[in-house]
Amino acid sequence: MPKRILSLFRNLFRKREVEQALEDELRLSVEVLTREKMKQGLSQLVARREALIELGGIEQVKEEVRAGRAGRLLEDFARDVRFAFRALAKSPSFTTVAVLTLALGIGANTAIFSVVNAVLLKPLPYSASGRLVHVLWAFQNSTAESVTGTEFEFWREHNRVFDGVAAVGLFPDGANLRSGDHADYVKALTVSRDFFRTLGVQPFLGRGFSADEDRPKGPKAAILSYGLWQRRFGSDPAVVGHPITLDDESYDVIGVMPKGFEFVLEYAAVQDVDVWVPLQLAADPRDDGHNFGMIARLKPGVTLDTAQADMARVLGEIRIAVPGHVEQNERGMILIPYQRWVTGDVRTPLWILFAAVSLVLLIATVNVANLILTRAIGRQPEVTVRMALGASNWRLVRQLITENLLLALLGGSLAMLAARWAIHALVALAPQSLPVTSEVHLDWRVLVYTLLVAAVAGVAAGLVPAIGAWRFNISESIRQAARVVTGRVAQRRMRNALVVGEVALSVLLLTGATLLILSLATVHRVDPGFNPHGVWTFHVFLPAQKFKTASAAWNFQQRVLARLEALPGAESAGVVSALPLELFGRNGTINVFGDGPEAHVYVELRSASPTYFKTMGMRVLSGRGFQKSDTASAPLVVVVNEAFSRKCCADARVLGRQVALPEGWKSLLHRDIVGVVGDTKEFGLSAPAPPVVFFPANQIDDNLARAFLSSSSWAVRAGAPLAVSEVRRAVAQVDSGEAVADFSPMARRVAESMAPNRFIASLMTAFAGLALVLAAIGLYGVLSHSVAERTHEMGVRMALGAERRTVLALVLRQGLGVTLLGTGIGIGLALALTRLLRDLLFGVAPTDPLTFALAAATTICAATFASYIPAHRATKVDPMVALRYE
Amino acid sequence: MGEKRTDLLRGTLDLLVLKAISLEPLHGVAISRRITQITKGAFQVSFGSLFPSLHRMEERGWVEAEWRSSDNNRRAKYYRLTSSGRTQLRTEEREWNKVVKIMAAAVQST
Repeated sequence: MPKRILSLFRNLFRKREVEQALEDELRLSVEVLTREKMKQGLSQLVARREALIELGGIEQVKEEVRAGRAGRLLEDFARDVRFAFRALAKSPSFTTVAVLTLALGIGANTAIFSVVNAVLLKPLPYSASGRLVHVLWAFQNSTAESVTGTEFEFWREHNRVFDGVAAVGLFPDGANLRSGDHADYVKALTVSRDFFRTLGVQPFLGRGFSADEDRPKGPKAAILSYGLWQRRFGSDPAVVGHPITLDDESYDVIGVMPKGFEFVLEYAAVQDVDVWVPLQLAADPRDDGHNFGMIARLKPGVTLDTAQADMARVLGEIRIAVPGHVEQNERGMILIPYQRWVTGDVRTPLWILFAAVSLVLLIATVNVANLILTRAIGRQPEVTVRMALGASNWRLVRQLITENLLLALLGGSLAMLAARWAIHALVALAPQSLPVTSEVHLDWRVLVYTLLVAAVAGVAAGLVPAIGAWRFNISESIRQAARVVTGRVAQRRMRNALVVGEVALSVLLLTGATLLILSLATVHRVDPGFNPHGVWTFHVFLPAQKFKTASAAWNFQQRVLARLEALPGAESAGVVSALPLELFGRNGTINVFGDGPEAHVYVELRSASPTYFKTMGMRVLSGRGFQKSDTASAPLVVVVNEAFSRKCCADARVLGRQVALPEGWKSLLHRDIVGVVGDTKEFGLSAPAPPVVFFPANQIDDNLARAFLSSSSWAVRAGAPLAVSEVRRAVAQVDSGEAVADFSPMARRVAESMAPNRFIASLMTAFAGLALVLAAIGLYGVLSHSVAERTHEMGVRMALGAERRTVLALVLRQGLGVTLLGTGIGIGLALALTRLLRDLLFGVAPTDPLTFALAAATTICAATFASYIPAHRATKVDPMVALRYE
Repeated sequence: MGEKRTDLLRGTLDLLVLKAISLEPLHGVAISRRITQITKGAFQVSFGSLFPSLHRMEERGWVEAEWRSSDNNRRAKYYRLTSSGRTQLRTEEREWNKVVKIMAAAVQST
């Protein structure tokens, strides 16, 4: 009905005109009527009065006309909103507290949701990322494992379910990017030719790798990251097609990846890559480590199950095609949706944080509900009058809802501002293992979510009192209007129930937070097996092309070590193939010979300079450490750690036994175990120390050089802080083409390894603190109100001789009753729910009694404090005043 | 129940108003007088019902209003039937006759 829509617009936007016309029409009608009556002989005055009576009053008729107009509902709504604004403006302290409480709850919630949204909900920034799967080995007694080159190639050729299969090298190399006399240390990742195509991301300039570039000894090509292209090449598009020098070898730049392109594998540091180069895999089954991450794209319409079945088929074929390709204890290949894989580690912590922050919001909402309830009681006279004047129940409820929605909207808007800030803080605080943090921001999903949460919180907070407070009849209310009604039982019960809930939830959150803090403290107390204090660390990459022999590399290392030890304040310097907590160390099975049967132990393999143990503060428990005399021509030796001796031999006596690397390493010589050092936490303070075998750096032969000497980690123990410039100079004095990277105090590496734990523990603590404060405020509010209601009673009690102590106890008892009930329920909840934290805890049981006691005690203390203030106020009641009030 | 009754009355009122202006445009007071006249004084339409009805029908496009000078040179708002108003009048007349027949038959049957 277009005519009606036109009217609607006229009614809404040309209201004055429409009203004026109505006014004119009615006024002129009165004139017509008046003239009629005057013709019948009435005086003008009487005629006019009669006319007005016949018309039924100009204003009344107007109101009737307005009621029938198009857009009446909208107008009513606008009026409700205006009224709500006025009502809120009339009680500024209520409004401020309610809006701030909501903003706090909603803001914290929005911030965490934006992380959940970016990390868990949004598809990864690859095209059709739902079809990407990660391919892994499953083993009997360990988690998943990456694949070998042979396996990757076999699968690429023989599968029937994938659109693309790609592999990345799991040990990204540092590389020296040279121009002029200046070297830059960049991070290079080897990828198979189909890598970018499989992910569905095209280079933003140039092209991806060709098959030719990916064959062994093929032409050398490189693709730059957007960051490197900007930083190093001034965003010059002409760089594509030009050669760059990486580790003294020339590569043609063939492309630049788009801004923000990232690829993450949780178990390998393959993100933050500067340069991608082709894998050029020459798969040799004999020299075949689990060194590749395999990613594949399912063909459209192929389900995970179908693909999984195809994997089993190919696995059967590979057993026949590559005899001797045996995986011990394998349970077959598994496919994991890439998104789930990438976020696997943070999934649980994030959902837990989200649950926690939602509980905080719930408590905030309950607080606001309590405030509204208190206010509703104060507004009874107003409501009574409006009902007597004919306002319907529906009209009153609608008004109430409008008011609360407005409150929620104000809270939500403020929350959005707070969230913007909180998101920055979160991203800054977030550990590196949190993927795609660059994607965390306020997008439309977060916006919609916030508005929804705000609306639900507002209506929920408003409806509770609507159910409880205004359900009474007018006559009763008027009868009692002269006196303040003391505590309607139902209302008081509801208010108490709300506070009990708040206390219970805050006990739950406190328990969770305390468990996490205790775990963190326990982890802090863990002896890492080395002394990180006073040790400075960095990386230098020694490319195999430049250091063609092991002795060349060792020569360089020795000379740099001498320079480092000569630095002012330096006590000792050591070099190792990978420091503790660095996840890129090599590993493999090693054979142990000596008395008794030959043993095979899966170990971490490290090469170390003679000074390494001393520099890191590691203890030599028996035998000896490395010496300068352990040269390439001397008898070959190794040092093992305690975990190795426990694992390898029943009698744990390892001195005098020999070890040898298996065939694949092409270094079959037996080496004597000459010493045992203390265990070091290689994989993180909360992970058990693995067995480690250390090789002396100058007994590494050429076959092992690439694995052990090319990426070197350095440690310098110094009495005074070491500057990166001093270290740079020391390295440059030996070889100006070598770059120093990742300079960092060892203590910081230790701290960073605990960043995820610290992240979740500090957020949980913040949320628990917030919850506790909100619950205390809630309790305070309820008791204050109750004391105010009972002023008269208190006065009478005191007039009758009650002591202050008795009155104090009366109020405190009320608060304590509510608190104890809430604490009991909270402990029950915590017993049921802290199990969810199990994976995040270290050295603390999820039902640790001390933690529960601590959480309960903290809550009870806070509650007692919150009760004391109104209780104290109750004792100040002057009996005379209280009685006069009556 | 109460709701239905209002609907019926409102429908009746609209029909009467449309009928009243079917011959010539009239202003509010004149419409009221005409209804009294054609119902032989049985219906005294209150202005509190008449004006809302007129404005509602105007919004629906059944009647059109126009400011005009009356006989003795006084301005007044005159309502005129539109073509869709005329269609509506015919429909309502038919509906009304149907209802009357059904009701009459129903009342006589007992």
